[in-house]
Amino acid sequence: MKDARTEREIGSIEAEASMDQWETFIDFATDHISRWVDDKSRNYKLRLAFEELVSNIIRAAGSDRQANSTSVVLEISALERIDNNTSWFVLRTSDNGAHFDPQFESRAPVDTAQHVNERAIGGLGLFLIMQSVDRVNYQWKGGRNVYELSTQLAADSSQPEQGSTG
Amino acid sequence: MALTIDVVKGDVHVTLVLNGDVDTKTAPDLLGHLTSLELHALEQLRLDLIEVDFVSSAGLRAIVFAKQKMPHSSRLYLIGPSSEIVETITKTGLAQAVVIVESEAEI
Repeated sequence: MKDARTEREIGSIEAEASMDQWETFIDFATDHISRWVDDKSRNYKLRLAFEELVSNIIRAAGSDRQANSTSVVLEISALERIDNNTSWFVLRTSDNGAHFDPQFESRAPVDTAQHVNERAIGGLGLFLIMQSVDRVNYQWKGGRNVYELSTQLAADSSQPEQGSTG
Repeated sequence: MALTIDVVKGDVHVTLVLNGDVDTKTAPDLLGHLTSLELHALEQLRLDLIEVDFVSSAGLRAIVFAKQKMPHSSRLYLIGPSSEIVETITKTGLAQAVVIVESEAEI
């Protein structure tokens, strides 16, 4: 039997993937996260994962801009998904930048036991993304990088309030 | 949210009092303040995080930068971080490099 899955979009925005739009992206996400994810720790972790992800996308877009003189557009959607009677809040990003597969499944973990003086500066962002949400997915779809950050909702957390779907 | 940073210099320590979020956009401000200190000669650096709600990996990298520049015998105190920030610091293995206290009076 197939898994029962439904989803609906709560809201979405689209803007150039640049630091000029940082607040636009962050405000959209934090507004939706605060309305949908009640648990303080989960709320913080989802925001953390989202910021790390968008930061990476914007950095990559900057490289694209330098190399090809093209603008990268980033679309962000907030979704409610019901998957086998389990409710999820999902932040999906979709961008038309260069193909970049972070290989979440096979990525070597950061050596957290390594002394700080020997630490390389990179790699923390992707590590925090993987550690901070219940599910993280990447797909190269229709010429776009598509990421999903999913946090499981408590049983009574869906549809937080009337008129909050924008 | 914007980040404001006040610098308080003591005899053997410097305290940076942070207010706001330390994220991709604001972490360069923190890094700028850290870079302007003589970290290589500093015995104690205190980051007051009581009024900080959020620290991303960019903020953590600034903390790592400071600790790497400071003498081996130095101490880097984080004052009053939230439980979520402490969890992030612990998860990334950076707790070994800092001393976490609830208030400056504990130092």
